[in-house]
Amino acid sequence: MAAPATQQIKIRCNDEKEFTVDRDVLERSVLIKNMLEDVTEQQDAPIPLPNVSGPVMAKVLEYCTHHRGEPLPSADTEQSQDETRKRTTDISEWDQKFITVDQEMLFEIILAANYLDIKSLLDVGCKTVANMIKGKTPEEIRKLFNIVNDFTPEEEAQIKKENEWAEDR
Amino acid sequence: MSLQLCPPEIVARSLRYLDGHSLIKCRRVCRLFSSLIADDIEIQYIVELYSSGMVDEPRVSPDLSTRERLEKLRELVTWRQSRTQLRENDTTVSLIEAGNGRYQSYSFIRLLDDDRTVGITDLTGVTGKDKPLNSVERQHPIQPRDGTWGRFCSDRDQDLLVVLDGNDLGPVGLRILSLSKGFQHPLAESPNISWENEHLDAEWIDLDIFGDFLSVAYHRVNLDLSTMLVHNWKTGRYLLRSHGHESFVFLDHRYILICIRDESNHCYVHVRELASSTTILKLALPYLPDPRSPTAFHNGALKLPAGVRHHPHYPCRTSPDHAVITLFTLATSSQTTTVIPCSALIDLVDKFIPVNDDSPVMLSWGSWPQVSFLFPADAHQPCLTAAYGHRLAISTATVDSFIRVYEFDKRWIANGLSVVQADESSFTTVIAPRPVLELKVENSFGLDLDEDVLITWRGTGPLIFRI
Repeated sequence: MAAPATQQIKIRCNDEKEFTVDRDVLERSVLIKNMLEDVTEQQDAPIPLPNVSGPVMAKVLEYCTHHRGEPLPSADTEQSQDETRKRTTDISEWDQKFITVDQEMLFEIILAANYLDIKSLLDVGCKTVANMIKGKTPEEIRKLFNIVNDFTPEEEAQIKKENEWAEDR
Repeated sequence: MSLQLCPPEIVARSLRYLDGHSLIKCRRVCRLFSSLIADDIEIQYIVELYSSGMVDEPRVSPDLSTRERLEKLRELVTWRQSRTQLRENDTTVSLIEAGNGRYQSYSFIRLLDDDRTVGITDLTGVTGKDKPLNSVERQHPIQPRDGTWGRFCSDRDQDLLVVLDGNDLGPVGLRILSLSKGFQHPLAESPNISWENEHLDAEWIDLDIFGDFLSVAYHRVNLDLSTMLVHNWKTGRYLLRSHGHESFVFLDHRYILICIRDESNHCYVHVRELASSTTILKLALPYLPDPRSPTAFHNGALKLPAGVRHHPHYPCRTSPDHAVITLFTLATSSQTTTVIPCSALIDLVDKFIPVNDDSPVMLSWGSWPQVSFLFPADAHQPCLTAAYGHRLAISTATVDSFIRVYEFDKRWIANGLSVVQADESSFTTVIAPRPVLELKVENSFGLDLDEDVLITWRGTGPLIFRI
């Protein structure tokens, strides 16, 4: 029996941008994989992805294409003790290059990976955020991510006091 | 798009990748960060583990959930804080015993700062929900009955704790105790081993247990004489006495390896039969030629220059099958550590036909792993050597203490040994491998390579490492 020809799937982003992609590339997204499994007969209508924009989807597809064929993490890996305890923020060279984008795009990619359920991409994004935080003072972190300090002065003094012993280490 | 507008679970997911120190700083960033750090079990565990100074080892108990780990950690911290009698400057962790493979199930045995009390502290945190940590704690001071001698040794496998008893004049005997109960060991026929009317006027003293054997080695500085006594701790029977030794190690239940320095300052390794107390084999001692210390050789044995003494240092019988001999030259701060495969040596001894006692033979030790050091001038003596499997750990007690772990090659062990004629040139072969691990420790520490555990002391609590 001949191997079935690679099936092409059409997707449509929230800005009407459409992509035609090999099925195995798209199936790196657990969301789309499940959608495709639920559909029995061939469908010509593109799959709508209302939460992702065209430019972000292009990035996500770049990632999925590069990593196509790699084994998908099993469903329970999410809870794996080992995984979480290792907490290594190492990112492979290709991924590192891939994720070197402006902050806006970084968060868009993280949100898309979360929505599309692409665990490995979500990990790369979150690790990148962690690496940006590491070694910075609270003020530097606020500045970096444009975070408003919403503590009252009293609260801030209190936390600072609690932290004192640890911060000068 | 800002991090604050991301779904909290995404932010939490990112924070989980941070170390404890970074997380503590992150608490001050904003309310969202602060509440995430306080509410997320995974993050809270990282923070509290960091604050406690302890190190988790997921391999030890992979089945425990993070919530369970956090609970145990909190119990351990609470318990530790309750032990306020431990003083800041109390840095003596003389010996450790490691646990039975459960999470944080370590105990350590230490000489308390009054120098009279042995404290056994069980750090076992996880023995089931019915047993909270405070109830399994079994620190119980053991006061030597009279006097100031607080030396001890222990053997966890045999539930044995031996305490040196003495008075102000010196040690007078040994007490044989159960490590877990604190009273007389059930297998010991008599609670004590005493040597009558003899005070060991010793500056340096060391106890060691090997199976039924209990050895006491001591050094009398004024006489420049080392003595070793071996007893059977179960029967109390006296087995062996040797003078002038530098160090010794039990090879098995029949043979003991003793490094002896004779009147003319020659060093040899004797393989002695315990039952008959006769020397079967006399070997030249492996030794690192030290450029700062010209040495002479006599029949292949090291002859120490006048005024140079080797510090008597105990080699340790290691598991499963290696003996380590360590020699430390005070004058030059050089150390030679040699790992000897016991079974190969025993094999050789069993086949060996004794010859003239005056002519030492030399083992072909070119294939033995050997590590040698030259310490800086301000170094103290090396304080610990331990080996397990293919790893050898050596610590140095300098101002900046380091522990170095070496891995030696399997082929060193597989190689059989052979007797060759003593030859000075053989001593030039020195294998000095690079350490696979170098760890700086602030204080003294206990080490158990068997259990892969290192315990040191920081502040008021123990710090536990995997090596």
